[in-house]
Amino acid sequence: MQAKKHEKLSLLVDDQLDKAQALSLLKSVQREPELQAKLQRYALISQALKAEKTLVANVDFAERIKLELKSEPVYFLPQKKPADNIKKVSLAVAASAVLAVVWLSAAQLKDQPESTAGINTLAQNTLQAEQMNAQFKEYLQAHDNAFPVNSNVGVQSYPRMASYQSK
Amino acid sequence: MRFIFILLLSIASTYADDKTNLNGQQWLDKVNDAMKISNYHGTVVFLKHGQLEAMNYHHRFEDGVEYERLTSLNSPLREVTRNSSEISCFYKETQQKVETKHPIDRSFIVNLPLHPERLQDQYLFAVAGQEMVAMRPAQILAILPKDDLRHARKLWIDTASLLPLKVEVYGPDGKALEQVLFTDLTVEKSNTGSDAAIHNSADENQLNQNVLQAEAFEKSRFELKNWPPGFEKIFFIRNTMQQSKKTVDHLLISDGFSSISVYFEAKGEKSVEGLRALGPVNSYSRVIDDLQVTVLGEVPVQTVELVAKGVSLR
Repeated sequence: MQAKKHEKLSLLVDDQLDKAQALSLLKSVQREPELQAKLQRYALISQALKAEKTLVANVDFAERIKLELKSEPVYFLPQKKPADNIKKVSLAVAASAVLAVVWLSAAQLKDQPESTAGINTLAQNTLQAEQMNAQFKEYLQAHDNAFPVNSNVGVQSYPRMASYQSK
Repeated sequence: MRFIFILLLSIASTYADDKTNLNGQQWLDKVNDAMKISNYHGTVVFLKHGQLEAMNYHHRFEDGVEYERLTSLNSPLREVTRNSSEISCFYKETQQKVETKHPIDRSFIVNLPLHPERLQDQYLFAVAGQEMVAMRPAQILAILPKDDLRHARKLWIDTASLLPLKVEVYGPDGKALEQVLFTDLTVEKSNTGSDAAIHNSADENQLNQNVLQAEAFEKSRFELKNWPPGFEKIFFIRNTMQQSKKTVDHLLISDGFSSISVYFEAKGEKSVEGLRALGPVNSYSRVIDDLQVTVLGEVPVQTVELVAKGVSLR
C-alpha cells in the first residue's frame, strides 16, 4: 500500500498523475508526515536532476510559513472613500491631530519628572556597575598572577571585562 | 652479551618501578622539582575566565633562580616575564609595561604546594590512568578536596620529564572552570642542579619574608576568625591600585593550590555587597563600619563567604 503511494508520489513529482488521483494523494500527504518527507525528497531529486543548483528546505518549511502567516497581525485598513468625502475626512483628521498633539504634550509634561528620574537611576546603576567592574578588575589583577595571560585585563576597557555574572 | 642484556633489563625495570610505584604525594614532589630546575619551552593554551589564549612559554633555571617567559601569539601582543617573584608584562602595541611582585606564585602554568604532605587532611592525591598529551605519555593525578571549600583538579604529568602537561580545575558541578594545556613541549638538556641548589634557592627566602609580612597582619586592626583548614597566611601588604590609585590592604592566604585575597579599603560613596563570579574566581563583599571588605579567590562561593564573614575589626 505504502509502496504504491510512493510510486504515485514519484508520478506526481513528474507531473504524470491525473487530477483525481493527485488530489487524493495530496490529502494523504497532508495526514502523513512520512509521505510529506518522501515528497520533499522526491521533489529535491527531481530538482537536482533538472538543474544544477538546488535549494534544500526543511520538512516543516511549509508548516512554518503557515504558522508565521497565522501569527501575522491583522490590519484593518480603511476602505477607499468616494472623492466627495475627502474634504470632510481631511477636516476631521486635522482636528484629531490637533487634539492628539495637545493631549500628548500635556501627558509628556506630566510625566517628565518621573522619566528623568528613571534615566538618572539607570545612569547611576550603570555607573555603579562600572565602578564595581573596575574594582573587581583591580582586585583580580592584584590577586591573580594570570592577569597578563588573560588579554582582557590590563589594557582593555572594562566593558569587555564585565563578563562576570553578578549574583 | 647476556650480562649486558640482563643489566639493561634490571636498569629499565628499576626505572619503571621508580615511577609506577609513586603515590600521589610523591608525584607532586617530583613535579615540583622538575618544574623548578628543568629548562623547557613549548606552546601553552590557557582557557581562563572564558577566554582562550595561546602563548609561547620558556622556562629556565640558572644559579638557583627561576626565569619564565610567556609570549602571546595573538593580539594584544605582549610578553610576560617572571624573574623569581617579580612579574613584568610588556604590551608591544601600546609600549605599556606593568610590573608586579607576587611571591606566592611560582609558575605561570600551575601552582602546587611546596609541602603536599601537609595537606593530607584536605586533599586526596589519587594516581589515575595514563593518557597522551601533546604526543607525550602522561600520568594523570587527581587532586580531590575532602571538603566543599576548594576546587577539584587534575594534573597530567609528562612521565619522561615529570613536567605538568595539562591542568584542569573543576567546579562543584564537575564542569571544567579552567584549563592549561601544552600543545607541544621541548625539554632541553637536563640541568645538573643539585638538591641543595633546588631547595636553597630564592623560594625559602621569600617564604621567610612572607612570614614576616603575615605577622604584620596580626598587628593590624583587622582580624580573620574563619578560614578553611590547610590555608596559611602568605603576605599582608599595603597596595596602591593601578587604575583607581586607592590604597588597599591586601591579605593573601593559600593552601598551595588555590589562593584567597582579602582586601580592606575605606568605604566609598557606593559600597559593594554580595557575591560575584568570574570563571573559577568568586568574590564576596561586605561592609564593616567604615570599611569595605572583599574576599576573592579561585575557590567555591561558600569559601569566600566563609572567609568574608570571619573578618572583624580589633
